[in-house]
Amino acid sequence: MIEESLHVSEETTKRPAEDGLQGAEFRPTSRAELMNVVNLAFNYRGDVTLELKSQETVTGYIFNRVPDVPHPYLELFPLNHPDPRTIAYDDVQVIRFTGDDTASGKSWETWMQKKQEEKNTLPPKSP
Amino acid sequence: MAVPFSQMVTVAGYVISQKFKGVKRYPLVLMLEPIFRCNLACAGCGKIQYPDHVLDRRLTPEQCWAAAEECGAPIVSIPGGEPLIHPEMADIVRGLVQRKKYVYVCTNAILLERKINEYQPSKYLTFSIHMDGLREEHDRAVCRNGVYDVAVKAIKTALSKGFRVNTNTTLFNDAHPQRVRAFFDKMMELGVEGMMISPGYSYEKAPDQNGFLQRHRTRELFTKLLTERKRGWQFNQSPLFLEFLMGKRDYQCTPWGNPTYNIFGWQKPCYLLQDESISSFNALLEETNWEQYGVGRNEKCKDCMVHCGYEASAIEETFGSWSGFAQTVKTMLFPNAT
Repeated sequence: MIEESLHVSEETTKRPAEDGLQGAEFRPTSRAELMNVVNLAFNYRGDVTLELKSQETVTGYIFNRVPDVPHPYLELFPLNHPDPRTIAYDDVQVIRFTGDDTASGKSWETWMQKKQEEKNTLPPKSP
Repeated sequence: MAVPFSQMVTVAGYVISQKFKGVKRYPLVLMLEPIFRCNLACAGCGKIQYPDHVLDRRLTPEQCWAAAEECGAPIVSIPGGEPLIHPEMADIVRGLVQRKKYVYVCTNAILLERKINEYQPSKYLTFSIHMDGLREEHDRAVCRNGVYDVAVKAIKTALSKGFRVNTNTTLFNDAHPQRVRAFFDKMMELGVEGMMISPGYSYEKAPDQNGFLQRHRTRELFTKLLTERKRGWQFNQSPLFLEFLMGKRDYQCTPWGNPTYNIFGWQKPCYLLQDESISSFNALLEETNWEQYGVGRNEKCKDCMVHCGYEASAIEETFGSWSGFAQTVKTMLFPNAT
């Protein structure tokens, strides 16, 4: 579910049909919007794609963000590079939630369903 | 005694020396996470949900040793992920043991029998086996049939080879007190040195969001578990922490007691919350606004009674005054006294 802290204007947002961030795209128009979207991206357990003002595109996992300094920045593990990369908030133009949200799986529900099926196939206990 | 005397003396000496030096915040246990990849996907775990390229990253032995030296804690706990997946884990452990750190390798034991010959028994090394209950409960918690039996077999092998072995148990709101007490009997019967128990933390990213204990339920459960406890049960934990879980005493969290280092850096503020990553341990200690964290201060800490936050609080009480020390000794000797 999209967190309540998300305050980004509708006209700068493309959201996926389903409830969630996967597939969403944000083009923040103010510092406050940018802060919010970077927070969402930081809490997202999947890769994001950043479109920078330099027109460069970077895809990776945001593992840190430091907003409370004179020049806020985020840190990211790029998808295809071993070294982490630091990117200034000011350089970010668009954030897309392009990777799978690894925390949104249904592994638990699948497992519980399997256990229930196992129970159902057991012979009834004698009284 | 669940913990060797030499370990107790080392930890006591360390804490007393910190107090003597007037250090207000000091670490007790370094939580070292060299890898997040795991071979299980447990219902209550929120630690491993990352993209593959992040799960493929790992700390080098040199990074692990440097973190241990930078932090200075006498104990290093290696959770994960599953540490035994790391191809250099034996090297990491060897280096930590050489530095005279008491190392706890927290493993689900699936790979233990295959890898055990890479390790040497030592008073500094303990395999801490993830066991969340008897066969039915454990296999359900780790979402795979057969893991309990694999772990029991690995425990027996490790014990037969002379390793220190304890168990690490996380409990959720489906825990049945009588079954958990039977589990304690079983683990002690296997011959483990001691057991560690804790309520699970309410990870936002865990697959099962309905199983976490609230504070009052934690106290109810642990009261049922630990009242009239059997003499043979050994807990590898502070006796005052166990009383805290039972609601007999109250603590504020000590998040700096178990600092966490992983592929992202030093994790602020604690093992369970990921507010920021920081490049140095000193910066973590000095730049974190610790008043923002703990029960009553932070919504995310509301129901947390996990050992990584509160064992250090219990240790602080033990060594903070003569009465705290006396309480600890009394509770060790007479755990069932009210």
